[in-house]
Amino acid sequence: MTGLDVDDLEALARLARLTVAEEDRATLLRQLGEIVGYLDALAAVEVDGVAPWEPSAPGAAPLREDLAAEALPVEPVLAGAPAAADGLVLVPRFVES
Amino acid sequence: MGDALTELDARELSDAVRRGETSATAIVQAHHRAMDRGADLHAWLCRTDDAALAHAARIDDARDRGGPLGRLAGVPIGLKDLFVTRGIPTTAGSRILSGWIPPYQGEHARRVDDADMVLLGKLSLDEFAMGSSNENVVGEPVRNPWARDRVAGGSSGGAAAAVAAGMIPVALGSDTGGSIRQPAACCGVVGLKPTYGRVTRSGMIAFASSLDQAGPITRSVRDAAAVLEILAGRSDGDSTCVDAPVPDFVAACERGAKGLRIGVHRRSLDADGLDDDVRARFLEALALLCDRGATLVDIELPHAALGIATYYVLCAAEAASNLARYDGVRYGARVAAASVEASIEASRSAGFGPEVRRRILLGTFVLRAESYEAYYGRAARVRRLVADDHAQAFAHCDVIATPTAPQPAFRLGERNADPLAMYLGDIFTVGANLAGLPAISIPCGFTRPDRTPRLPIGLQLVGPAWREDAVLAAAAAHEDGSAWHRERPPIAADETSPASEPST
Repeated sequence: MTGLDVDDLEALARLARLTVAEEDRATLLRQLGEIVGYLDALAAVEVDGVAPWEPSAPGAAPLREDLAAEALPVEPVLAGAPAAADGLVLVPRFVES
Repeated sequence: MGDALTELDARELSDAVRRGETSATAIVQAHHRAMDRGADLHAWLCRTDDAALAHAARIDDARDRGGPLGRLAGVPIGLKDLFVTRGIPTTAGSRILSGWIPPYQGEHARRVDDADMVLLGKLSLDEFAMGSSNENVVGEPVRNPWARDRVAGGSSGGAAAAVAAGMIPVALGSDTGGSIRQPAACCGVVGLKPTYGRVTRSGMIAFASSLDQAGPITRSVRDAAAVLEILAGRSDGDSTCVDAPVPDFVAACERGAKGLRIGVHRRSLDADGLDDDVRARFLEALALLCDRGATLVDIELPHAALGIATYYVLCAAEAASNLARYDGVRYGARVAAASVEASIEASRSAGFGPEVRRRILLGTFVLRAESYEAYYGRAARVRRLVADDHAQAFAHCDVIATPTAPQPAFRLGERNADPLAMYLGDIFTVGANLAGLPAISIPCGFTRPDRTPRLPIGLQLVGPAWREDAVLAAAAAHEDGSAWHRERPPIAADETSPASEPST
């Protein structure tokens, strides 16, 4: 299990904004434990003084011109929102009046 | 030409349109019939039949008037459903984006449209491109055209299956750890992952941003080269996409194998789990290339065995970050709840499938303060060692050859309960993603005749960064000396009507 227990799983789920159903816990813990156990192979590698990888671009990363552009049309944007009214996205209530 | 049109490759189709030997409309209709015949493969999430016919009519009209035609005019194409398409549902194969119709056109969709390629629809994938079997889906898993009880590979399984079955000559896929090359190998087609930064990521829904790269799946190497020329080049929407001239990749395909130095990492061929037929076809492919003038060079990749662990730390971490944006607030599916926090949690839990939730949790684990340095920090450094290994190998060779996948297509459901076993199938492909290198998978034969079902096997060729030309030259040399790329699965070969007179 490589140190992962139910409390860890619950803490990870809270951080990830996910709910883990009780019936899925044992399977998920076993699977994550096996995966993390496999990832532990990295611990044996000597990485002192090794810099993290970066892409090898043949030139500087290009920057686009700082130009004004048209905004997205409101109607199709709102059509993709879960809820909308009066030209605005309706969000779940987060302040009690 | 009737349904024989589905046998032609992209450049042949475009040439036929340009010369007036057929019409874009006839081509689209023939491919629509192939899509109907292959519906049981479940390769498509969305078909755009009416829009495709209207587009084809515009191309035919332009040709009749002598107007300008795009580079691959009239050639049907399908896009993996994580390429953003204005006005056409784009789901990333996820419930959380069900019903989302993009208000903007992604850059890949725009570039293929500018080339007058005709979009036939959106292709199935593992949810958010996370998977190697195209079984992480909302509906039906994609089936392999060569054997319906086998996976098509993943995550671009719908793309590879559709190309193999003659539904389209070209699909666009994405490759984060092998998701273009492995399904191409499973389905017996060509899959090209460009150098990281060669093709824009703007307009492609993100999974792991430092690894993701878009590329073509085709039935010939030269088609892959032609499509890469359309996709490559500076993009204002992605500063990691380089501003460099796009080489003539199609011309590179004519170089042949004379003088080509092929690096072979012999130790990787001794690994447990390498299928005997995969090893045999790989060695035969090397022999073919040597017959055509190539030489073999033994190379060492000392950190190759750490590729999977490194990859899954990094891709899970990046996925956890990228997918934090899906909260059911501004777009996608929302589950109502008593508070905004509860709504976000409920929307994400209902919207993401099991593998995506697993990778988000894994990514959250490797990024949390207590484990960050031991996992994420370490993996980012091991990635450098993997890249350095490749750079040192390329001092002695022009391309590195490996099998694409350790086994041919496995049975549907075989690995679903064991995600680690699924991950280990990526052993040969993740290195190119970690090091940002171009790599291609091409057909190199089949399982032996006494083994059923008969399944295709892929050869992978990896090149130095920005040397897609070397990869394509080697791949085309193999293709020129073999006929594996002309083999068709039963659905395309048996059910296709004989060639008829050209239509106009």
